[in-house]
Amino acid sequence: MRFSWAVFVKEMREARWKWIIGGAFLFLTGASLPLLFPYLQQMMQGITLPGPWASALDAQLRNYPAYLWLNWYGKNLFQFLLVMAALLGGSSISAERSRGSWEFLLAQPVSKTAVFISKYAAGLVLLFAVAAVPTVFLAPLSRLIGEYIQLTWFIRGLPVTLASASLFYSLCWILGVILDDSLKAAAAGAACCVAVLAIGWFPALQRIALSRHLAAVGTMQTGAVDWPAVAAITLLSAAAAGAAYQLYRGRDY
Amino acid sequence: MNEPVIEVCQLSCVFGRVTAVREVSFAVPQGSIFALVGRNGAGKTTTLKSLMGLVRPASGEARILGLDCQKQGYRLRRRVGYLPESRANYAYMTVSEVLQFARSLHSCWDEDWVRDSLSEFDLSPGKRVGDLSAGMKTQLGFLLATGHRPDVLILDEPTAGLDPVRIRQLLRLLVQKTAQEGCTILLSSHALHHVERIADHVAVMADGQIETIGQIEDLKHSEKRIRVVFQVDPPQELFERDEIVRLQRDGRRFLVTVQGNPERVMQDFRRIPHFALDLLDMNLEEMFWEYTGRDESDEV
Repeated sequence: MRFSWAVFVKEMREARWKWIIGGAFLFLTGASLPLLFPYLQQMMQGITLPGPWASALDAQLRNYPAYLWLNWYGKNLFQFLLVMAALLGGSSISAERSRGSWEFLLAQPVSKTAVFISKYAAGLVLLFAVAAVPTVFLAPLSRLIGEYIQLTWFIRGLPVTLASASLFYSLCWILGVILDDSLKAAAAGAACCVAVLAIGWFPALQRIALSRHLAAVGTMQTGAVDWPAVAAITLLSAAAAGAAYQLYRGRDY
Repeated sequence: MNEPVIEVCQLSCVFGRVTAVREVSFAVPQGSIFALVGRNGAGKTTTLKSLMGLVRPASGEARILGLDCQKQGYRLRRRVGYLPESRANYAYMTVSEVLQFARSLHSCWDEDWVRDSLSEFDLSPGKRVGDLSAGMKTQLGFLLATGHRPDVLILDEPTAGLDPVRIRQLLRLLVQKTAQEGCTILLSSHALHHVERIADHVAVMADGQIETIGQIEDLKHSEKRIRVVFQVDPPQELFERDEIVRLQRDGRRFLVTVQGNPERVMQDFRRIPHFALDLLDMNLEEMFWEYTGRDESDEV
């Protein structure tokens, strides 16, 4: 058996507060983007910002879809996914070990592979679901303020964003397998995220910068999903998950 | 003797520079209760963990019911119940939820036995696991290990945290499991008086090795103690013989541990004027001290 539905459900249940609180937070901050847009427009009429910020903000306030995209994918979802990836990926195995339930779980008639896959899948499904649902919801919410965004256009940012998030998630899994403490694993995951994002600070490395892909900047510019980037990041994510699996199989418990 | 259900052959477990288990070999016959006893760090838990596939041995092999513990762990765990050293479980779940979770992982589950045992143990199904006492967690762990009616039970310190009434209850259940269901039990314990009550085989472990192994009754009969108080200083050569494995002296008072037939030693002692000369049976605790407590100074 390569998958255990019981372990999957248990994982979902165990992470319920993470996705309830995280999802509610993401939904509220997401809803604030369209709802505050008219007020932001009014507020900024009397304020003059210096040079580059003025033109960037002005461009956003004149173009609602660009405003929503840049703030949602580039800020809200971006930060949320990093935190959730570190929490879910880092704590999946380490939390079992630190609370002492790991021996009980591994003594059950479930293969170690099934435990790994079920746990990994549960975290990934949660990560994707919590990110995707508010994203989809932003389109009807925009109608409330009289703005219109095309849903099929807006969700084009999701594939590359979720692929990037899955890479962070897999990297955090590696740390969660190595470290016995879930807090340490989450902290190490956060440090790992910063290290990976640092590549984006160098203009010459923008094409391969994960921060750029997580914010789906390329998709917004072209209007098309960057499938080669999605495929490359997904492969990297699978490789990281494979490395986590090998470490997991090789450990004594 | 029944066919061995658990076979451990030259098993060694190494963690970094520490050898936790060193070339351990033993066999547990079907339907028997086999106890691993030893001090903390003797290697008991590591041995049990390697049988459950939680620790990979550096060398040697272990088989349960003919299945390789490392390569056929999944098949093996369907037929083996394990009570781990750590009783911590999913603290946020209730007792019934943990049992439900375990049931969902097993293809067969004896609901009646679990329900009856729950009421016998006074475990409330609605109580959160995190709120259970240490003893209740042990009881819950025992139910989780036995709910699927395993052929083999591996129990790490099964009486830890239990009060005397619960210990008695648990020991009775263990004996029942072997007598009525033919279940084979391998357990580790510090509570030697409990082990002596139920186990038929014992292995004393120290520093990762098995110091002595066998049926409890045979082991107890294989060694005797002679307590003697001489009236005069005895000659040194009186104690220089193969049968004497240990000698403790306090003035003219001697406590002599003899392996094999003690009668010849007694005869020689009788020839020396003495105030007292007694032949003493050894219990498991005294045997344990013989093998594991040699560094400790104890009174004669």
